[in-house]
Amino acid sequence: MNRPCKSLWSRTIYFLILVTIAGIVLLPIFYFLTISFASNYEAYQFPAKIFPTFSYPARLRYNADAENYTLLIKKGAEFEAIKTTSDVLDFSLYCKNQLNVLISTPSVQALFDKAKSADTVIQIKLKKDFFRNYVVFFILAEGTMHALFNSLKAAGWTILISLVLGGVSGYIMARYKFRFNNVFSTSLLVVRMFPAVALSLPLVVYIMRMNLYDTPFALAIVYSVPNIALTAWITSSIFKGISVELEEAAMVFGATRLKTLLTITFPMAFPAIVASSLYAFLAAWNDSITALIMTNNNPTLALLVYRTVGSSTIPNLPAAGAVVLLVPSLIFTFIIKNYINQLWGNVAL
Amino acid sequence: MNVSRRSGFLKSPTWFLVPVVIYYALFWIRPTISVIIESFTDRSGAFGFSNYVRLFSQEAIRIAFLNTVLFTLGSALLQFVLAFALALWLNKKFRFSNLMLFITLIPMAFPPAAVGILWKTGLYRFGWINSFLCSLGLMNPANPVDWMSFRNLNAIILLIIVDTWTVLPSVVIILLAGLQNLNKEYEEAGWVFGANRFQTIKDIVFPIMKPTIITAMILRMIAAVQVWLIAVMIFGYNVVPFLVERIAYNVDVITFAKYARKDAYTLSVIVAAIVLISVSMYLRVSGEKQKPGEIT
Repeated sequence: MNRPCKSLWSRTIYFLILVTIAGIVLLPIFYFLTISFASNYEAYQFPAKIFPTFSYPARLRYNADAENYTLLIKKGAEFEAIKTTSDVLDFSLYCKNQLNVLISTPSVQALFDKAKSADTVIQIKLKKDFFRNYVVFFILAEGTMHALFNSLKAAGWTILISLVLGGVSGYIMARYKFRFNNVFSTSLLVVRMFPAVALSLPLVVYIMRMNLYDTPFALAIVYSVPNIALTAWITSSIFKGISVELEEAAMVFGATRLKTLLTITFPMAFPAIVASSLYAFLAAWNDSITALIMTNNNPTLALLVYRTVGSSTIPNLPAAGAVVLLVPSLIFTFIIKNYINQLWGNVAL
Repeated sequence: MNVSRRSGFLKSPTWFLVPVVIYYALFWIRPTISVIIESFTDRSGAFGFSNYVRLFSQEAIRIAFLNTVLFTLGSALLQFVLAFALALWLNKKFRFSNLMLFITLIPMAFPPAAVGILWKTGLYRFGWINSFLCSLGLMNPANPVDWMSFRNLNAIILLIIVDTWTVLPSVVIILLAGLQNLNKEYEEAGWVFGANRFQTIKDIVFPIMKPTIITAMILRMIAAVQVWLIAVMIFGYNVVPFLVERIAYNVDVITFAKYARKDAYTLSVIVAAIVLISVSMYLRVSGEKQKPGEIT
């Protein structure tokens, strides 16, 4: 009764739904990736391509009357003249800045000589430096690496603070009944959902007093507020699953409580600890409003990417930045994916 | 000997919660109280509602309020319909169901800043959306639509679609978990008594799923109230004002204006109040079933 129907008609519809959903998710991502690899010249082309190109089919023409050279690039069925110059350096710079093609001046000279002696249009192949946008955005542009390190530092501190404070609370909540257990766990839930913006604004004043303004550590203080609560919830549910008898057995054989924790409990809770850390990382890595409020000269990568969109007219460089922002996010989300499902009541995948 | 002494000390384990409580007192309760006080005092320090009065006398704020309500309701409704349909479909085991689940989960991983750029590259006049429509022959390449020139309701609808693309997976996951906990026998009983598929969903699946659905919707609303980044990245400041967008505007653009700080503080109190009301609704709905470890 639950099997997909077998008639050709409903199978076709089913297949169409499948393709449509996959298309809605994947199509924007494909285009987006392609734009992150596009040169300025390509970014201005319309309609845009869905898959990135690795080289340009191009031609070079020697104009005898003006004694200069014209570069033509294939557009549709025809070749379009995009640059006319007689200067070797000018040509080389144009290739680098507009086409993402790295070609040295002697090579340009060789091409020029060849076109001149051939006295006709010659075919050339311009190979694209595929990761040029990424190199420009991260290595040549000032401050990007700094912002990347700031993001990593903020994430690192967030993980540390959340694990230490949240992990201890989780363990206590799981192992001991105490009077405020319910109050405590409810307030943790409220903290987890409290809007970051309502926290960052007033905290700036205190952060300035502590001389921490504009530092990744100050960001981590804010990120940790919901993440301590989250870590406590995740770890407490795991600690509850680890039987007390195991711990007691270890202690019967003479292990101290600390040793029991380190050798029995923690290794078993390790997956939960990793998952909590990844959550903490994602919270810090993805945030932009707190960074907007709490930093000035030391932005995080997410904030920097947000800012470059406002200042640049061509989206290819910010897109490259966003892809780098996306990669760890994507990997970590899929590592903890099964975890989310488990915590939501065992969605079988 | 050693063991018993230690467990004696640990009989009051509350001691270990002290650092957390101190942390929250310092970095949550103290700033929250100070921001509430700030929002109820004017620049001379006198107590009153002057900030709220001034705020709501600004047209941009009233529009921001209305926009936030429209966006929240619109996105919650659209996401519920789509996510419920998708979850019902993915819940059936079919040949590509695992692959499909994997694909539909991808947008969940996108950081908001990346979502903003992805859609900005699509929405401008020569962006990928128009490129795709042209390649399908649905649009004349000579006269592409400039999506970014959309204003008012159209712009909000556009933002709802972008938001739905991003967060639908998380709603699907929650509903899917609810469906998988559903006892198959109830549905089968429905079929035995002659109900068709639609009736089964309407009269059996839906009522049982109601707490899960309400939970998912409240969680979505809490996030939707705080929308700002995609609006600013796609349209820029001031085009589609939202509550948190106004806060960012006060902090980021008119930082040194006379009332910028007071306005930002007061707005953030309003946002926090809306969120806290939603959280209390959430607690009431999920009630006793709420157990530690559930992830939003």
